Amino acid sequence: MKNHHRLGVALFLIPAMAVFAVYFIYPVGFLVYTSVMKWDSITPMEFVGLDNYRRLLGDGVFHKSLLNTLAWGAAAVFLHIPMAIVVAMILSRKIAGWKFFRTVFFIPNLISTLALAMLWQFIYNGEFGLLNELLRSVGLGAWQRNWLGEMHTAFPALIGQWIFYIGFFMVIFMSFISTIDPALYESAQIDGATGLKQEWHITLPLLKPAVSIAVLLALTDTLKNFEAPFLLTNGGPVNQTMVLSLHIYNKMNAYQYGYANTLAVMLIAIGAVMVLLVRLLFREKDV
Amino acid sequence: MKVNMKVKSKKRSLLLLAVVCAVSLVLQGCVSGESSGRSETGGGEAAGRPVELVFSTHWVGEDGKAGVVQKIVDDFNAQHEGKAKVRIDSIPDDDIYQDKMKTNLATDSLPDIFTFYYNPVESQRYYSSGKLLDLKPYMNDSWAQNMNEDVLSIGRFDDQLLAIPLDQMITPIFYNKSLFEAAGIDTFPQTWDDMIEAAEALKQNGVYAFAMGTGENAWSAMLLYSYIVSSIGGPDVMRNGLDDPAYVQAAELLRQLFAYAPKDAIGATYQQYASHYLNEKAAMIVNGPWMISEFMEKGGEALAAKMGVGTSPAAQNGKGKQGALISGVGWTMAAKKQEDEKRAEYAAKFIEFFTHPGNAKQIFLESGEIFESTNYSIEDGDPIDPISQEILKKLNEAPQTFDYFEGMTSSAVKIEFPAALSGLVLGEYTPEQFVDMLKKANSE
Repeated sequence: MKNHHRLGVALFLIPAMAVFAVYFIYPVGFLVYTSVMKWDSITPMEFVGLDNYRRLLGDGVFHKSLLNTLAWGAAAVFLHIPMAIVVAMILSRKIAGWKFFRTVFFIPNLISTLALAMLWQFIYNGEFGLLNELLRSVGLGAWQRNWLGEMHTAFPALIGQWIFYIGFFMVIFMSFISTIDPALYESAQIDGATGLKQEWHITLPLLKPAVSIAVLLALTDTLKNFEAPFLLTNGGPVNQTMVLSLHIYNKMNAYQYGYANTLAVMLIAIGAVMVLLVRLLFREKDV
Repeated sequence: MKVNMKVKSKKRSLLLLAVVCAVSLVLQGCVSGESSGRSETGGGEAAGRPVELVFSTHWVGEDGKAGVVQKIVDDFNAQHEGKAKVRIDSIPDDDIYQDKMKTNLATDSLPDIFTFYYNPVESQRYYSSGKLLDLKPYMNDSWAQNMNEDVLSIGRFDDQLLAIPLDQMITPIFYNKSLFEAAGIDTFPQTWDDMIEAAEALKQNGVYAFAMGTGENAWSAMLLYSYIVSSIGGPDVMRNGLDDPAYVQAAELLRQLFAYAPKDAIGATYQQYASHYLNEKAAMIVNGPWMISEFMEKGGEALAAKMGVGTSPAAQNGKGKQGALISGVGWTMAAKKQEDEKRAEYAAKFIEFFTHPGNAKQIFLESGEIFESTNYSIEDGDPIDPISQEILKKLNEAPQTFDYFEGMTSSAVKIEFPAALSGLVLGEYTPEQFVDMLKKANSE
């Protein structure tokens, strides 16, 4: 490449690089820098070396929030996305009313998390909740409980309020399926493959790029997860539903900005590892 | 040749365009940086234009003071038309509001005028930040005469006056007289043993004794805990750290009382547990006079007429006296330090106007909240609602006043309290472990 071409390319890259530096490199650099400080955001910072990182080892709430974040990610990968794939496959067969069902599945994505959280508060409420009413009406009154307030049910209930909102990924998968050449299905049909076999041997393998994107998006969403735990349980009871973002928020509110930023560095590191793993996993399988 | 020239000229144009784009982006960044730095403030310093100030408040929407606060702002704007204008920045939730002000303090983006809850630990952060306007030079004689100097002293720091205390936070134990009567309870419990007996009687009658929950900051449960701790350890117990055995004993009693709370108490937010009280499914709630407007709004005069004002029961061998009330300074009002003298002057003028006896009295009459720092007289003909009258009567009769727990501890303890409390109530923590959790948070 000639020198003036290189200069041209460099100049064109400047705006993007400037935005990247201002909105990513600087904040991350600042996080890393302040993660080794004791800082309440008001008085001057005090260098504490790796004390904040050592504190992570003994921070039971961090451990719990990390486990919950990973469990949420696992639920996204092994339940949420497979459900979206199955529904996308069924609706892509253009069954009767498929457009209606596509809209129904997608609608929750258009509603704010706040409104959905309010709705689920009413469903799970231990005093007048719809779920308890339903259980009572079918003779399962003994199963009634304060779903978001008990140690063993709070986290599953929190996952449960989100797991069925598959509309976003369903639409991604449906658009991918629509690009698959119909001739593949026709020839499979001639060879005697049933509908299920066609999905298994044709649709699923060809969906791999979409699955890769979906897994990546779902995992990064999991790491950023804040609104639902904040609004529905505030991390309780006894931190059973604590997630990393909420733990960071709490530490900031307690004026422990140095430690909050240490947690944020961990969040970024975990995100980076997740992205690498997903890319590695799907690259290995792509031939 | 011509073609080459054209190509070169095109390349030059593209390069020029790229440079222009890059420079404009940088300039835009500078401009937006400036504006973002001023995001919490109004503008209007330019000559001839009125000074615009932002007043961030949660006294908006359904809050009992929303109407009168809006009127005060409108009156101020009318009085200073063409010179200054105050704009309300609404944040309709006091918890979220407090969190936002903390973030604004940390990021140096405080609004021109704002409020924060008085707390000996947390207020120091605001005072020592160097970001608050010293109101002392603006306090003229007429303003000073309107204020109660004893209370004003808590806003003083390093020979400056950085905040003006507003309301007196009195939080009695509201109770439903009809539900008490139906359960055969003649008088409000005088001891905690009486309280458990009353709670049992209410339960037998199909009513929860206490409307409280562990969601958000567990407000009503925290206030009930404050009553129990102070009735055992005395009115000064919260000024001596968390080592007093009263904290553990109080935790055990609070755990027992949660057995008489609604089934959704673990995790219940204020809206949820308050609704049990307003729907007359629970007989008691610890809260401030700002709840009076909710009685009127949800149940009208009929519900308001059933409301009784209870005070602290006594603990066996406790240092606190029966009849005591939680009372202390609540919200304080402050202004951001300004570089522009005009802005500083009008911010101070607004605070003076807001705390003027006429306005303070109007707030009291409309919401029941007592402005502690402002001297105003109550006349016989003033339309004071019966619940506010009862609160004032009980306050005058109270042999002691108690602090409230959240107001005497750090933010870290405030955040830990609901988690530790839910563990206590669910049997995950012993009372000793509950207090240890609070101590650990306090030491971080």
